[in-house]
Amino acid sequence: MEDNASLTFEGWGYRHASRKHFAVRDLTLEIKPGQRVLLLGASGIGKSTILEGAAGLLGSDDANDGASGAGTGSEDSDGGVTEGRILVDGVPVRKARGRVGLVLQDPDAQAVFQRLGDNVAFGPENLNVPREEIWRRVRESLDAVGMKGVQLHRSTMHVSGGQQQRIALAGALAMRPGVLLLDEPTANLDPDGVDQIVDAVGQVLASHHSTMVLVEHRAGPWIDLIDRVVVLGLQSSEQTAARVNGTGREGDIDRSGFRRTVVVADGTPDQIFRDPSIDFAALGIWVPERYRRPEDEIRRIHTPGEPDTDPALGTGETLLSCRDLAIGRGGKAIAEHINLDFSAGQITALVGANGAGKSTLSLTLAGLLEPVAGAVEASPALAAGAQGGSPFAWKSTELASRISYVFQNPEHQFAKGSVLEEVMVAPLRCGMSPQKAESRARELLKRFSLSQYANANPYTLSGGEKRRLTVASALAAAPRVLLLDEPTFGQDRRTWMQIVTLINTLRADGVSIIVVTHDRELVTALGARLVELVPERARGEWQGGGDEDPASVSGASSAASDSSVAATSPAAAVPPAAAVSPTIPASVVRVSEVNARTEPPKASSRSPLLASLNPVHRLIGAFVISIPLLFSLDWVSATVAVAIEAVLLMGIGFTPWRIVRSTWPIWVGAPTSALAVLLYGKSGGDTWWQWGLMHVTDRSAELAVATAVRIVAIGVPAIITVLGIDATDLADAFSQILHLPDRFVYGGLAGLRLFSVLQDDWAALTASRRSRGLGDENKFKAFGPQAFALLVLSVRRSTTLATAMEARGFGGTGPRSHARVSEVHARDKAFIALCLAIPTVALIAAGFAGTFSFMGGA
Amino acid sequence: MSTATTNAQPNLKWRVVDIAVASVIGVASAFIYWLVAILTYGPWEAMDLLVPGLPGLFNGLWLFAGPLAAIIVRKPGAAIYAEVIAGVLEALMGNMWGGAATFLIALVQGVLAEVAFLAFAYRKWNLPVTILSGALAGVGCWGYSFFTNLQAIDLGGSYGVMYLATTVISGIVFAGVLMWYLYVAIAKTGALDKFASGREVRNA
Repeated sequence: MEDNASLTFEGWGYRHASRKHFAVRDLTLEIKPGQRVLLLGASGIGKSTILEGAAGLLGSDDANDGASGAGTGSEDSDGGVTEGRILVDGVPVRKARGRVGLVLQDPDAQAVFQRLGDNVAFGPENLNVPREEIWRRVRESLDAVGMKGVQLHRSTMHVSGGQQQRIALAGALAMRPGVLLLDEPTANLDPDGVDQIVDAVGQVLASHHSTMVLVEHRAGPWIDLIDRVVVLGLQSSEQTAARVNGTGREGDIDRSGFRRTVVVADGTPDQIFRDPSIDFAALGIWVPERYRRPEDEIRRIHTPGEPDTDPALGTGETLLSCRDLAIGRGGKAIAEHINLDFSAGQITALVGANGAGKSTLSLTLAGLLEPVAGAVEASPALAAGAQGGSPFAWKSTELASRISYVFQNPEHQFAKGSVLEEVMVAPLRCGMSPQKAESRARELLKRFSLSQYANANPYTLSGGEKRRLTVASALAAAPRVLLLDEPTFGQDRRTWMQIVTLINTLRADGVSIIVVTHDRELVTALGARLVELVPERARGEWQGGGDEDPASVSGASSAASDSSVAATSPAAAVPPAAAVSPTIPASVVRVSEVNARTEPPKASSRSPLLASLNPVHRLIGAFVISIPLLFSLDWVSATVAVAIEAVLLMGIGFTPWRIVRSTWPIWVGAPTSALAVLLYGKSGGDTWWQWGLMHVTDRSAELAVATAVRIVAIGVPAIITVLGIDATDLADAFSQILHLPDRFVYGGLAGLRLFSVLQDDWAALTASRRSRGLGDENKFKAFGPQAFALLVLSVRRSTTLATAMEARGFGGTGPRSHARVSEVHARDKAFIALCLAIPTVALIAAGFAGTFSFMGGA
Repeated sequence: MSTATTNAQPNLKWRVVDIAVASVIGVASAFIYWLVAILTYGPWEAMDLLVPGLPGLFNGLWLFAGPLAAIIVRKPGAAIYAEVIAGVLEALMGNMWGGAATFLIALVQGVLAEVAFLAFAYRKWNLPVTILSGALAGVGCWGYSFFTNLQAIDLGGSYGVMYLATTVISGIVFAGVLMWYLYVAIAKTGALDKFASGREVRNA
């Protein structure tokens, strides 16, 4: 199948909302059908903007289609300004929906649906492809990315990052794009995930011959797929030669006098990477192995003032140790009998595949997660002044001045409105005087080149700056142990170098550094000791895991990991770990197996009968039971309703205990309301008790009983009938049966999926606050700032999600098809009739008993 | 920042990012509502015994999704949409206001929060209108309680009046004033640059 298109930029430019300068301006570039282009340029030069533009995600439909150069921009509804145009096979890209497929960096941000098959089907649905054709394409696309036969109902939350990213790629392919745009698709993946994606893209290109544009700092693994490399630069008004280097602030590189975005080099990989005039290091680019010149090679780095001790060993003064430690979340151990020591001035790299438990181990070491068994012990020197030697038992402020943790996502860590205050948090919490805390903070900001942003809002910094700020804040309270979770994830080579240098300088302070990482070059540059977490029955990716012959590891590199370093560098014959520090035996920690391969479809109710009903009918049923009961507040109708419901629920297999357990909040809420009614309700008959405004009478007591029983009568079925409904099925029913607009229904559904992500965010925020000395505050006081951080994160996540959804063609005004059918059967109608019968019988009974009381009566 | 903002020609068409952000405000709010429910259960009864209707002061903590989504997204129906999304999620999780019924209370509160912005034809986005929105959401919350769980209490009696007063005050404070400053704080992080609401703060 050959389906490819040309991509042409004609004087194209875009200025983002609230920015003074254009991100890209007057770009002219022609990409021929079937070409595979690697797009290079310094961070902040606008590569992602170019891809978003090419995917038709920028500008407005009614913007000028005419070929026009700079100076004729028009503002779109995002507040951005577009100039010129981008054409796909000669058609303006916003009019060529589905011709361009975009895969973004963060796999988690691109999943709209819970079930993986639905995610792949989403693009074709938005293009109004007929249903049978959609599922044919879903299977084809999953085959193409090497996921043949995968269960379509599997949850996207339960697959690895590499698989998630392959699903995203399949989702783009299912739209049958002529052009495939890949925006750092492997930046967030472990080495195994990188291979999966490169292989999958290779297969796709071989079968579809699509045009491809790739943006990637680490082009090594991709190099065989590339046939053209384009290097971008900026041209300013006063110079004729283009400037290609980034200066200072990434994300906002020096644009003084910026006139246009130009192609400074264009050719085959051989031509470009062998061109001595291009300074790849300054561009932030990792030169692929085979083109590496001596100065591009990553070696052990050295910084002024570093101690002469081996970083893999440190000074020998042990600060923290694990004694027969078992780690896990929720009391379930994933690894046991861990014995490790961490000493001052030592750098330890915790490595292992995604999901192996590196974060679990590092959080346990940092006193943020309780050991399942065994102990994490602080040395007497480290524990001096704190309560006991177990970091998990320490108070938050005790922890912050001893062990600090830098989270992978800097936004999990921010607590204040300015950079300076951010760094002052921990010292202040630990009792330092404000003057001293400020001078300490300013000193750190200077050391980390952040002084100019002292008053800026931390969230507005660039990625690399945010990372430096989190390290600075973690160091502010002078901890002896520092843990960093994936400090180099997704960074370009320049930022990478800054971070590595920074970590190396900490050795001089006698800090024991523990990094969780996938990054082999980081381990090499730091000369770190390796601790690898290896799943049972799997072999280690880094050092062959125990008894195997090291030589067999590099030999088996096609099956295991072959990362950029091991596979193609001249040192390939020697495993990297051994190359780094031959005298240090690297440790292997055995962990339980990562994830199961099969997963049964999830039932949408404990009752098979309820599960077989249409979700909208279940929802309507819940209303039909509840609403009529509100007409009368009396004990007879409420009790009759409860009795019928109990019989019916037990009839379909619910035990009384199960009913109470599923509906526990009702049993909490009913007495509360009943008490209010008893004390302050409508009075009548004998007075039982009176005090102030409280007035308990015959009537109020009767109403209180009726209120409590009725809350149960309304609440129990209202919860049980809807509990467990799958959100996707409900959305399908809203769209197909209630005919609510798809934009809102599926937009809302995408938001709901973020719920589980937000729960993880909340847990990370809680842990980071403890790590920073903010964890001892009372719950109400701590709630506000943490809720704020959660909201900022969720707004960012949803903005990315909106981009991902639009990249799948969502949000247009044209018709959409539906991959799934929301079915309605006779039993759904019968269910509603039954639901209506319950309150009807109850109210008639109340009528006969003479207790019917409209809305509680006068 | 609390100066009146008048948009001569508001763009009322929903973009995908508007829908996504309004949804996630609903989702994050549902999560916070759920936490608040757990935290306030204990104090609730004690306060009701102390002064009848006093726990109405908590109610604003379940009303903020609508006003917040409205002032950020600035599209017609944003308050209703966000509050209903929060309600749907709570219904799917099950909570003490009773499953599907949560959907109804969310709708009532959302509609009333929306009324404030509608009354100014979606042209005024400032602190006073946000306060009005929070107050109206409080009225909706109060009215709904007396239609359901508190039917047996005289809504014009001392408990009813006190409960109205506390709920409206709470709505003004939590869903009105607090949400306005929360919006300004979020906008300062740059997370709202794709929104007119965010650019207004950042360019000020």
